[in-house]
Amino acid sequence: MNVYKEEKIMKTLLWGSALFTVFILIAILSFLIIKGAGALSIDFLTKIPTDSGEKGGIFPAILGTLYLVTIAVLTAAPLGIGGAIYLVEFQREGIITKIIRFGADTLNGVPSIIFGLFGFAFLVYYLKLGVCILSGGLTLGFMILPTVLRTSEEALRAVPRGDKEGSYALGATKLQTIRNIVLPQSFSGIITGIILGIGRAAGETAPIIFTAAILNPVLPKSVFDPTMTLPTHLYNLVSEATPDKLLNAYGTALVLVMIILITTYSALLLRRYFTRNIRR
Amino acid sequence: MVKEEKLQDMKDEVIKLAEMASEAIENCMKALQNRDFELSDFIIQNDKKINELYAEIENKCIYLIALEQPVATDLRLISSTMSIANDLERIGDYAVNIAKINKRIKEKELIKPLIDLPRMKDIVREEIEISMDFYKNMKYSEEKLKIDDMIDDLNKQVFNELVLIMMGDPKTVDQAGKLILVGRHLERAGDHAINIARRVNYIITGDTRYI
Amino acid sequence: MIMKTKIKIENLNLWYGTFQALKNINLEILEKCVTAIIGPSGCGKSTLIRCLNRMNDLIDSVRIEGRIFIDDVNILDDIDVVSLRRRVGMVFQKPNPFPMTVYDNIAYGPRIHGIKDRKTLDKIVENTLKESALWEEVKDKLRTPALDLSGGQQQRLCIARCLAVNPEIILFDEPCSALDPISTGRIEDLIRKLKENYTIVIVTHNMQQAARVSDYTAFMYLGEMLEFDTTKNIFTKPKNEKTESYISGRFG
Repeated sequence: MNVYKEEKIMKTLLWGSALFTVFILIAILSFLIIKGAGALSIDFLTKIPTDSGEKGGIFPAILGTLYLVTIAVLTAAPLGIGGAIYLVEFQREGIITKIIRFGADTLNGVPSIIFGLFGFAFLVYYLKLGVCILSGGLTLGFMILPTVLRTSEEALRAVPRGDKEGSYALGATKLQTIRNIVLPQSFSGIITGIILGIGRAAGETAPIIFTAAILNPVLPKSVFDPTMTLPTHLYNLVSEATPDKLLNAYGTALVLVMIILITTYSALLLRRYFTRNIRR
Repeated sequence: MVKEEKLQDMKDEVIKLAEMASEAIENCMKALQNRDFELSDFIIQNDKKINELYAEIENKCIYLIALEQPVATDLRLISSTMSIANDLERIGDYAVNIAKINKRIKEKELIKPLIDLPRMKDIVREEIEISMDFYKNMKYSEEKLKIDDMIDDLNKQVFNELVLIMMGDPKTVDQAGKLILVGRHLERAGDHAINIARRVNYIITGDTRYI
Repeated sequence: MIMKTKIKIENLNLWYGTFQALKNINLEILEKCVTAIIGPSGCGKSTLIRCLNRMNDLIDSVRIEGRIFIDDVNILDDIDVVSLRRRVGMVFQKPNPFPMTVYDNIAYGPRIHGIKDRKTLDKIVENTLKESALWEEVKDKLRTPALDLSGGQQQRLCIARCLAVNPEIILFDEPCSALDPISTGRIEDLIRKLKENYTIVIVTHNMQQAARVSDYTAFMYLGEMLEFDTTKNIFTKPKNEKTESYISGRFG
């Protein structure tokens, strides 16, 4: 077979793979939209569920998920970004950095159920926080921490050495250089890391089953209260599987995906706004 | 100093050297006509200054080449300047030779009044002036160099006259021989002056054919 | 004219880990002159000037022995590095304007050191841009991104940025390597002008540039200072045969 034919075949196969990926995404979205659009309504989004989810809305779950994600980001962002800054700017490349990186990468691979177990044993039980938003949010925060740390680290490393040198050569301190040169330029990458984290935090069920979620449609009044969440509510509806509940389940899934899409897109817009002056 | 200023400085020194050489030629003939031995001594002493100026010009040219990496016209200008300065120094040397001859002529009276030799000297000085005009203004004209032919004619005339005198009276041979040498020195000085002019043509055109 | 010594380097040795990059360097740099440091790649020239503003502190595994006096103060002692770097500015090989506006680039230094008054900053921006022969070209573009400028303009911007903190010494680390010949010529003219007010040290692998621009030249080879003399002497009658070979292009 001659090389041109070979190349053509390869090109088609590769194109097919890329197409397939998009195809799956479209399939899932369409599936959700077709099956779940029927459940969507203003009431669905603003009322609390009744008859254990058979009727009513999913407002508490939406609120709960939003609270959890917020706490998760508030936990993971400072720790992750701070840790990344330390790794890149203050620590020499050596054993310590290798250990930290290895730890983060390993943590990334830990199954989410184990995070749930850890959260339960440590936060809920040992620290006596009980099942509440704080426990769940912190657990999720620990889970997305490695992602935020590693992407922030990559973003910080991507800042050209020349810019940093230029700043030091003018007599800036390390802190001034980090604040004025490094962070603004790595902002884009850091936000990306946080976006990835949000996506995971919003959708994971296992970490929050034992640490934050309840089935009672009660609106939480403080971070020390437990809450409904979209993933657990979805799980619950599907396990009971009456036709109405199934419809609501699809609706819940759709809402969850929509929320993730909206937050991701908003973060992207935010990133574009803040980096409008940065040109490479 | 910027390169342009350095080049101008170099040219100014060359013009100064030309003035010194021209003055030396004027004086050596004046000393000969007036049998002025003091003036001849002065010319011989002063040649040191001419040599020093020549060395300084050469130095400046070397520095310019090493430090400014000149090319094209600048390079031709600088390398030709070294050549021109050398020609001027040689003219100075011929003046010294004539001054020395003056001192060696023992007799008070010259065997004949000098007419043609001073005219040769005037032409030499004119040639120096023309060449320096060319150098200063970077121009060239073949026409103006025709006066060099007159030096050749005059030199032949001087030679023939002195031969006749020698044939008439053997005692004049010593002085006449020396005077013939004076003519030769002046003729050579003229050649060097013409060389200078031709060098300027090279600077302007880059053409080596007439050097 | 008696020239005062501005920088005195005494028995300087530097190691990157176990590799010795500078071997017993002794050098005196005179005030308000341009001193060039030449030598083949890897001879230590950049390493040497980076000692002068302690930029080598930023590299791990660097060990330094010896003394460097600037105006009789040993800068390798425990001194305020921030104010040292104000007095000793640096222009890098690859122009590195910050991804900000032209104005902000130049105002960066003064702002870092506490100058906030708008009018003062405006004056500084204008004066330094004029000193770097860039004012005419950018005076209407002060609020546009610095990265939109051409390479030569960016480098002159970096020079202006350096001047904005009012240094006494300016270090140039191969400032024209990344530039075209016309920009290079302009920067060289600029350096000749700047030496009236600043002491200048320039590292260059372009010997002709060193010959054109500097008053004194130092030749380095494999971490050692082999010869130091006036530029005139180095390029017409060097004393060391390695110097002669290098400047004649026989190696390096």
